[in-house]
Amino acid sequence: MSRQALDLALGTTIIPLGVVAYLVASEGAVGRYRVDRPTLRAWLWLAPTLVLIGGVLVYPLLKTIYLSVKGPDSEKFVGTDNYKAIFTDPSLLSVLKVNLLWIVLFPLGAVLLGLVTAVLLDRVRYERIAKAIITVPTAISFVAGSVMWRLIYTYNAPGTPQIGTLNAFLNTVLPGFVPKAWLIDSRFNNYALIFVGVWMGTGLATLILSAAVKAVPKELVEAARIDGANEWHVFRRVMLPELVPALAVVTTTAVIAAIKVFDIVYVMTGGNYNTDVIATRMYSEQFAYQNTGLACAIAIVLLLAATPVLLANRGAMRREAAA
Amino acid sequence: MRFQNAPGAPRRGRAGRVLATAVAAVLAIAAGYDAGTGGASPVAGIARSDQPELPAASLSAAEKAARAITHGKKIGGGVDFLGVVTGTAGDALLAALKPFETATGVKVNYEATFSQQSILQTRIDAGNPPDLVFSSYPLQLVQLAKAGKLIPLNGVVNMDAVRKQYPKPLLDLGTVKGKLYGYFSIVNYHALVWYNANKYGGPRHPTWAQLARWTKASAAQGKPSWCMGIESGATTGWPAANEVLDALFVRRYGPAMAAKWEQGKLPWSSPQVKWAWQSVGAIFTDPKLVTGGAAAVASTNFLAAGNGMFTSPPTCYLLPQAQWYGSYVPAAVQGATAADVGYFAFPSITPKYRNAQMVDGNQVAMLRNRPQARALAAYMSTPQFETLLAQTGQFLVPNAAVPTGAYPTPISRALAKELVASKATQAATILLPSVLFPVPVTNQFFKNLTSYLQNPGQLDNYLRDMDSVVKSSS
Repeated sequence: MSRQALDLALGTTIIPLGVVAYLVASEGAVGRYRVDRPTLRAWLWLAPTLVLIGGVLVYPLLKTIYLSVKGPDSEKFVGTDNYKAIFTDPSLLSVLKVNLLWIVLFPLGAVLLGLVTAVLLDRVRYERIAKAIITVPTAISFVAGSVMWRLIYTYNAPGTPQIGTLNAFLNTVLPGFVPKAWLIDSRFNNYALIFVGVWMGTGLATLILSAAVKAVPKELVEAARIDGANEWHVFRRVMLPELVPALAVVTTTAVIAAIKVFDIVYVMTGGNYNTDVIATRMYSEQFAYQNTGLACAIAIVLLLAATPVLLANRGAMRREAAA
Repeated sequence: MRFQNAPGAPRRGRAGRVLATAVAAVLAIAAGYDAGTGGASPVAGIARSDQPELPAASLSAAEKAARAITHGKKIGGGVDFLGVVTGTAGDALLAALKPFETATGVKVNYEATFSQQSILQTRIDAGNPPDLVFSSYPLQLVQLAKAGKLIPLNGVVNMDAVRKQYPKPLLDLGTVKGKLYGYFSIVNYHALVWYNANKYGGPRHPTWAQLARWTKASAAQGKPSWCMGIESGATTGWPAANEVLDALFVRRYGPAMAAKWEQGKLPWSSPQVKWAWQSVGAIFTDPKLVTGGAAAVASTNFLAAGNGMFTSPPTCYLLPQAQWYGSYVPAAVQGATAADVGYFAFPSITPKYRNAQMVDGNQVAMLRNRPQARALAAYMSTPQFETLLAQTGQFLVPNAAVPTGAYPTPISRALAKELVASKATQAATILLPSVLFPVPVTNQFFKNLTSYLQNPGQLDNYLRDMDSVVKSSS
């Protein structure tokens, strides 16, 4: 414990002090030599960041690419075998299929619900309280939220007391209801998991979209109403076009979250019963099956899948900031 | 799930209880039995949380034993010790190591990790191995010994005493080319079936055929006999694999055939292995035989699996589980006391294999030849240290010189008497097959068995898949 405290103290003092000392020293050096100062100074100031990025991002990335063309124990060169496996092995293909389901349904659910709540809450007096309630799940860690939902989805055999909230509730309100193993039955377990994601993601979508709704000029809406537009038309023709940049940001963010979803699946099903997604499979390939090569190849595929969305997300953010 | 009943869980009104439940659930996931780590009870951290109070007489006896090792010298310094035992069980281990520190002045720097195997390998590769390891991976130790990474313990421990006090089969597992490289200091006994002594009306020491007759008759009356829950986070499936499938296989085909299976010489698609899977499937997918059928088996956490035996009326009567369950029940299952708990050894199938006693556990092995490491390796083999471990109530220890009276509860005394002190059981001690598969095979075993219980029709595919994992990990 004291050792950790010491590490923490050193980390919080030595690193900032070191960086400041470095900058002071480099400024001194810049002053002393007659060189192209603006360029040199820029590079000197950039250097700490570049070293950091190189050490924690670029080097691991290159190493991952290198390991992804090697076998399980990183010794034999296997070429593109690991990549081929991802797109041909039936169990890995089913992982991709499940992830695709996440990529479609999670953003759809989170953005639609977020949009509806943002627009409707804009019209009520208790907006602040309602918005606070809806954003609470966003503040819960994914692991804690998943543990909660595991308790909600708990299944007990028909005829025994139902401890799971959902089955107990349905059992009470629907006569003749047969309890469902929400997390185990592969007909609906992926939807049950995605719903948990939506529950946790809607808050953030609501916050961003609500701000965008507030930014729609009031005169525009009023003018439309005076011109005889009904509420649907006001939303469809006036508000929605104004919301497009914000919607793009929220959607791309949600798609990225869906591509790399891990915690919900890992905590709630451990990837069993056909719920494995790319990230959980990457984890189990490395740590359960000790196949470093395949794990690294999956990591690269994950990165490649997320990159275009990430670029779109950046573009959307810029446009939204400009709008 | 009844985690909130664990003693020591904070009781601060509803919010406190909900929080405790959530925390306990996360703990259960975290503790969830890293494949093959076995070792001490995976639930020890939840079942008890009080620091063990050890008898002063035993503590001073242990100090004396430690002083004898260093010839009364306070050698000082430290020893790096890497293990997997953590939580309350880890505290108990440290409490039993305390007399060694007092007597020799050596500080034990104990580090527990669930990914011991990879961390040990990484540290060896980096030229920075720990002094000692408390390993759950007997296969890894044998490989390390063959590669010359371990220091032989002959001349470090008192070999005469060790040979006399520890079961030969367990010592053989740590012996390479006639030299001892590791000995088991903690063992976890498997292949036991638990019941509620006040409610279970079936045969008490049945053969498999007798038990099958009873469970069938019970099914005909609409009462499922078996309890089972295999949910355990990322390692879901291990209870059905370790406590039932392994046991069935060994009871029918014996240790020699099991060794072939472990070494990849007997394919998973062989009739023998397939029979074991089908036998597991026949019980755990049939709601007449197991409470709730396959869906309940899959969704019930292993800690809660046997709760139905202690409800009124019971919803099930028999639970296959390892020895830790006996001390877990009175501590954590609502309405159950130590007097309710009964058990029998996994029923016999082929008579000559009925005594094969399956265990896993933690082996002490040495990686650096330093005086402090030698002293600790010697200390941990003494009956005085093993007695302290027994007195913590957290472990069963294989040292025959430990009096069974050292165990704090009747059930652990009974287990020790039957499993540890009996010569017949000692001679028939073998490691649980799941511990001796390569790690990827064990993990795939748990996963495929879990899937199989949901899709029994796919058995051949799952077994073929196992064979391909064996091939790629050999």
